[in-house]
Amino acid sequence: MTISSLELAKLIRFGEENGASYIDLRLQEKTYESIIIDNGVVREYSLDISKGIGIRVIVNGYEGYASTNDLRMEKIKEAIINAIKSAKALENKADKTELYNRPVYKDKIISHYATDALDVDPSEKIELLMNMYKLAKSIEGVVSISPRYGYEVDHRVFASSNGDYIDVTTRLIGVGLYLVGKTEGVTERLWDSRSRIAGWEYLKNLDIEKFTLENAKLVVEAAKAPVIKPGKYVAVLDNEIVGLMLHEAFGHATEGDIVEARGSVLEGRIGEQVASELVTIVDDGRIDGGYYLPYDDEGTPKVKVKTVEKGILKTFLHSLSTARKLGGKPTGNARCMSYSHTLLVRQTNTYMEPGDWKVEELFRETRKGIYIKGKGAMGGQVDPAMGTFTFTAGPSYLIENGEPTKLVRGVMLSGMILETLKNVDAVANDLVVRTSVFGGCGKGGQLVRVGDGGPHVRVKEITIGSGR
Amino acid sequence: MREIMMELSEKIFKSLDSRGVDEAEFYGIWGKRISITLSNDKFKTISVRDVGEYGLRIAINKKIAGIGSSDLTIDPEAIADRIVKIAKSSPSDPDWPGFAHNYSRGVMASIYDNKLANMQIDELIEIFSQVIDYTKEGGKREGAEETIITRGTISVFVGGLYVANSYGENLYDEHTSVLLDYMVKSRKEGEESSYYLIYARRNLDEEILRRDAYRAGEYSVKFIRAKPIESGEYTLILDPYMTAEFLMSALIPAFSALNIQQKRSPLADKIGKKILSEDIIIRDDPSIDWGFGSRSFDDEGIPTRNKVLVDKGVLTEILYDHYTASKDNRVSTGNGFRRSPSSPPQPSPTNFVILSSGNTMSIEDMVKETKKGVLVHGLIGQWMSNYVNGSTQGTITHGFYIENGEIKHPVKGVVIGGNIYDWLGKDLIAMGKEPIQYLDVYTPEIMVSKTRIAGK
Repeated sequence: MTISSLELAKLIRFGEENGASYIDLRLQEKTYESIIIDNGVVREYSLDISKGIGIRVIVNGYEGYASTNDLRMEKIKEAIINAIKSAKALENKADKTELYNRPVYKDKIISHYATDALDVDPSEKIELLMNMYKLAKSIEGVVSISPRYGYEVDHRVFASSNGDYIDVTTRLIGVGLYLVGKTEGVTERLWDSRSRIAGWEYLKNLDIEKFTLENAKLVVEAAKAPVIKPGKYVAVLDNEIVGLMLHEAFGHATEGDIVEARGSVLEGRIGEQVASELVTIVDDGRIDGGYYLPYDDEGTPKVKVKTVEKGILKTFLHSLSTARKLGGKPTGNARCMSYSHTLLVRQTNTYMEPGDWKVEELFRETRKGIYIKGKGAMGGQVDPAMGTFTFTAGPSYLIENGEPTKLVRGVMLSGMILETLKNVDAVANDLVVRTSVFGGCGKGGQLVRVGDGGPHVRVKEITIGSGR
Repeated sequence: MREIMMELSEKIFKSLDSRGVDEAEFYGIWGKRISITLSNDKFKTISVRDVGEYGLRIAINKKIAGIGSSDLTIDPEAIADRIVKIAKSSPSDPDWPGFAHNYSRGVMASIYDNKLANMQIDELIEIFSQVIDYTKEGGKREGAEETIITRGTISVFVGGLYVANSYGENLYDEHTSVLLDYMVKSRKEGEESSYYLIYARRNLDEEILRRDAYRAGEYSVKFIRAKPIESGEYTLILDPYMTAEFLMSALIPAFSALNIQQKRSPLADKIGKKILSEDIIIRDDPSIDWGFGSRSFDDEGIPTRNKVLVDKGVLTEILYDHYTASKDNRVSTGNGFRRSPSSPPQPSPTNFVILSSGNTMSIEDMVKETKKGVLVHGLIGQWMSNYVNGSTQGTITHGFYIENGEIKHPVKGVVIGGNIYDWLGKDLIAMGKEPIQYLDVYTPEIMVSKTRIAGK
């Protein structure tokens, strides 16, 4: 990093001398490498390097932020003064911020990797994507192929006037494939990706051929498939889609800042039954396959939290200020998209704990319904105050006589936060959690990396519609 | 900042020149943003963000690469080495036409509001307070016992944009914007409901702001006791904001020449053919004063111009950047915009305006004419609609069930699905008269027959 710990300490002192009772600095240097191939031509090869510092101060109980990417000391000091002025402008006009008093942490962590992909020759990365393009092109009916590569190295240093000093570097790598298939005049699209906290070795060892061919065949099959008949269904959700549903249907409503703002239907429901007793929901920053977040952007260790245990709402996700305000304990969920953003309470990796059903039993015991698949799902959204959530699935299968049979497309699901998870009546014993270097979760104009997943799960009633 | 960007770009161009780079393009943006957040009806934080960043793209023997950075003190030699290494490893693109030449300005619009550019924190707090008061008045009028803003932000932004190429051309412009969004929650007779307000413009138009804020207050009450309706086929009335949302995800990207050339748009080979109802006119208009997408030149320095994309239902023109235009032996329409400073431009609209050339109907008359239908004022998930085939889908959070010309009760938690080419084609019953601005889309309300709804 361009600024030493000593200089950060001096800046913190400068903030204190100018009236801040508390100050923290978030220094970030992030590199994102992106390659996009469009039907055999390199459409984009770009490298984005961003660097800057974010400042938060508390002055007489009021919270002000400032950020700059001009890292000369006098410019950072100017930003600190701006943050202090902002906090002072709120005097007697705003709600005060108090932070939970936790122990001081000092740590330095680098996520596991063998080969830094930035050191790998660009031609090797292009070759990998070109290979995906050629494989997909071999499947009849695939009319548009866009393989993508993404790699990010995110180095964040957090220092506070309480004495915290946390230095974390995370590497996340992945490939994705955007396909369009056309059969008998019907067009359908499919996006799928694989990412992992790792270096180049992950892509070297990934079965690219299987990933590409599976998706290419699926998009053509999907174009042939009918759209699903709208209505209520019994649904078996696969590992990917269950994670997406939990993130949308439940995760957001447990975020402490939404609860504090009185914008969540879960406000005041700690200790209540909010899901079937088969449901235990976890938020964990270190689960295998997910995004790696050992500390949040307030320097708090991300602890593994069960927000729901056997159907009972146990806790909300917290920052230091929401923990203080709502009477909980900090969970390490205060996160920012970048140094220039303000702190929000965010999920990390949201997943359901496995149950005791075998996956094949789930199908066998479901005579009629739908098998909702995550591959090709576009994402989801929730209105935590109205209690409505929705998400799309990828091409999915009807279940007839205990088996997945016909493919259907364009599946969009919808439900109510306080109802849907009560309808979970079987949870399988498998578990898959995934993250992505191509996307994440959006809230308040900020995108952060998250992961989600779970076992196969059956929901006895869910609303499904579709476009055409 | 213009001088810093100019100086930096010249230094980098010089370093690139000594490395045998054929041509290069520099794109710099900077901005200062003041934001105030609000939580549980009280101001919470203020932040001041001051950031400049730039992107550099080069070509060597039709091999292209891009680098983006926010380091204004970067060593030009180091960045030149890095980008040249990437470009040399890339295969050449046989269709590469070179970077755009002949920079100039096209149509002009007001995009810089002095008042916003010089706004002080105290003034912004005052404006935010007033807006909230309008919302509370709206809630009160609908009989709310309590109306609060749960979470929200107001931000004012002033920034600039600098485009330059290694042929010695450059253009610079400055603009302002204001963005307000918040969630309103109201309580009436022991029940609660909410509504989301978004206001985004290049100036602060107090009349529009008051209208939208007041409406958000009213709407936060109107959807109390919303419930699902039976699955089936319904007449669908989308207010202008929800129409805009569907246009953005299911229709607008289809006008991009890139998506057409890459076979991701149903509009391939449709120029001169009827694609929508003959009552529909669509324009791309960069000249609207204070329009969110108003610009005099695009991100490649190409002048913008007004154009008709659909005339009485017939596709007349599509949107080009320099690269896609050259591939089709055309000239760019001035619609090359970037996702990030380092990424290549791609065609997208400036302000997308949709109008009716036929008879129009007010939203009240649309309701009166409906036998069994829903009027939609709030959706989630509509952004997952599919421009590749026009498929539309979304879940209603704020709707009204209509029976025999009368609003019966509020609706939520049902999925609507269809296809944008049907909605604006054979199933279009009527459109409203006045287009309403929503981000960079201007559209009136629309009324559509036979829309599928998945509900109870």
